[in-house]
Amino acid sequence: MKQELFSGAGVVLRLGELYLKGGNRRLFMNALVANAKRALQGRDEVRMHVSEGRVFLTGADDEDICARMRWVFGFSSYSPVRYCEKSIDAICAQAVSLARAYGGSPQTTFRIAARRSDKSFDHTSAQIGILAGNAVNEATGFGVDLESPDLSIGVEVGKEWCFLWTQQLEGARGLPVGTSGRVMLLLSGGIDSPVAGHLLQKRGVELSGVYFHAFPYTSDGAKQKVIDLARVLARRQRSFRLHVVHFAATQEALRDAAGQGYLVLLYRRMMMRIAGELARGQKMAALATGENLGQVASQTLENMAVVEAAAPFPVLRPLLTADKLETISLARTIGTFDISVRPFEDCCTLWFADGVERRGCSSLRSTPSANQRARGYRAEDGIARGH
Amino acid sequence: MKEIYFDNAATARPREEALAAVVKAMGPDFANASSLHRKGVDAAARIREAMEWMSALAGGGEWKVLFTSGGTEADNLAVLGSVPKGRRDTVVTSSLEHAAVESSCREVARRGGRCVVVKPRQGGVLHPQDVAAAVDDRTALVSIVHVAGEMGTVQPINDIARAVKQKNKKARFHTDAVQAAARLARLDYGPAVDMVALCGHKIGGPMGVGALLLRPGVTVRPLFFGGDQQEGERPGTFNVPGIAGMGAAARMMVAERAEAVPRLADLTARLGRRLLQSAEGVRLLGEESCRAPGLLVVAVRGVRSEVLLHTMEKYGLFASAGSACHSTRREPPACLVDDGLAPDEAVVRFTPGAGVTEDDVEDAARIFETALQEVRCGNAGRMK
Repeated sequence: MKQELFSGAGVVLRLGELYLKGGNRRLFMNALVANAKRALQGRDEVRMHVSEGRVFLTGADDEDICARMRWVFGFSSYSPVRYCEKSIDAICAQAVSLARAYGGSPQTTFRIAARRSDKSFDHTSAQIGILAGNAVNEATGFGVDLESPDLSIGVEVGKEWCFLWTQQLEGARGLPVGTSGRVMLLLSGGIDSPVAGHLLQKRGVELSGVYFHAFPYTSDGAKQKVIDLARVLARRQRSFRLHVVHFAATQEALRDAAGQGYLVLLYRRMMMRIAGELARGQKMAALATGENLGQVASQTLENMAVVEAAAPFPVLRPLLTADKLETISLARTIGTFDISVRPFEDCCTLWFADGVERRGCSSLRSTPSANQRARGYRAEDGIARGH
Repeated sequence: MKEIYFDNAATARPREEALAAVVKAMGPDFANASSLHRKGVDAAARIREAMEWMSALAGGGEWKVLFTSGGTEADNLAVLGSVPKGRRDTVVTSSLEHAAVESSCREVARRGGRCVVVKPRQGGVLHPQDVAAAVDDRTALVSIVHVAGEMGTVQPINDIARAVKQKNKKARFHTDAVQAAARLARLDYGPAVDMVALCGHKIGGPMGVGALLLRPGVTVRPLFFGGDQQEGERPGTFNVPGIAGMGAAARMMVAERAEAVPRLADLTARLGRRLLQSAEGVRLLGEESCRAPGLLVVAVRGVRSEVLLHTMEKYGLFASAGSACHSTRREPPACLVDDGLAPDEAVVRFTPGAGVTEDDVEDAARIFETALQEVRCGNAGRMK
């Protein structure tokens, strides 16, 4: 019996969508456990166990642990818990102790929400609720309110464990990073692209990034901003490889060859080609951008089609239909907004003439020299680490 | 690649002596300068030495020294500490000031006082009579920069201070000498100057430390509150490492400036001549006879200043577009626009330090020429 494993304080993590998985569930669970373990690096006293479709942490339940679990994709929710012996007396005593720790006044209301997945336990869920409820009521004088209580004490009894909790925190949901393949994300340094990356990670994608650096037209401050954004995304995966492509000379060549018309589209088509080369080298299956339908002239339907035509892989656009305010709000939540709004310039506006590019030019075609140029990119790579 | 650092007006390369003083004050002499035991007394002695060197830096004479967290705090303390909240007093300042003075004078106006801004005449030099004309009976404080960091000109500070006192002898006179202390052969403030702001990192000391020098009898209201250090005028534990480092840098500056500054002035003038020769559409700003040594402000037609700066950086030359305290601002400094800077002119500021050599000047001029040509032809993106 593992009873002694489950004692003291800990955290219980509930699976999200993984619950629906059938034959390949093991694969997803392995990735999830590996990601959660990585998120716990440096907290060696915390142990992890998987049992009956839950992930259990034992050894600590502090805020740091909870914050680390916040962005492990695959968990729908999690709770700091108190493990206890699998007996009705221990459950009642623990419930009383949690109610006392809550504080409150004689007007405080509570309820007990009990569940037992171990049907051989000698009390039913309803009986546990009544017995523990009576104990709390006697000890604290709190009144019972099943509809909207101030304090809700959860009790769960499984085959190997028994725990109580009062707080349920929102998990990151989604699928474990690493279970949906790898994608090359075009990171611009703006608000959208890191959010797009986050949403892909949420669907289990592991990312690499590519940034097009237009030094001396943009500064090294702009590059540092992208490196810092990559570090935030890197926290959710093993490591994050960021490619910095020196793009200014390419932009100059495009300007000299094409003049101002369609320059932004030409830049973006070249970015797709170069990102494609990098993705191919890492055996990736897709590119991703933070593009958003109609947000700027280069993101109209026509122009996206023209740009995508130069991409050797499918281009994923998780923010295609997002509202800008939703994107900003998510950027704030995941911690990229403050980095994105640092005042540095973006390379797409170089030699750009206003107002000529709303509609894509269907006559833009890939030429052998453009493809050649894409293969001759100059890049420096670095691995960003989140911790 | 050789690095040529011509951004000393943003921060000067720290002096070895300053570094050694910081390390010593954070190592063996780590004690609190207000402690009563021997180690505290030793630390207090370092503070007193630094006071003497800061006074010497300002030209000697009687000064009370208040150590601050930098030039910005020294300027704030001088301006806001002289004009009590709620009084309808006037402050007079100029359009050449550093943001620390400009913003604290604006704060005086926001708190119910009045702020008058005097503009320089052509060439970026203030005329004493123009400043005096703005002074009246309600003027509590006049704050004028000694060397204007964005214009590069030296202001006739003693003449201005005298003219102010003739108009209203009760008006206090403050000068921001942060740039002046780093690049003039001597500072000799007359009795009309009541307060002088200085800072560490422009003279080869550490960042995060500065000083406000006050004439005996001049007091300021504190900006914040705490213990009784510095008579409560600027409370808070003494930053002994910072103060010791700044003191050491001031000592070196006092010892070397008589020789080093004329050399710096010659080389700066030579750099100016070489830049003018290098291309069309280049001009030097600021009245020639008043340009500060080691501070050359250049207007360049037909480029964006960040692009020119980054292109020069590619070849190892580090300069700036103006004050680093305004580096996120897109427009050129207002005082330069007032002085006739055209919309298609970019500003580049070269500020060589005392260690500059003739080779540095020649190399910098060559890099400027190459970079300017690349940016104007639009092929700066090609890597060397």
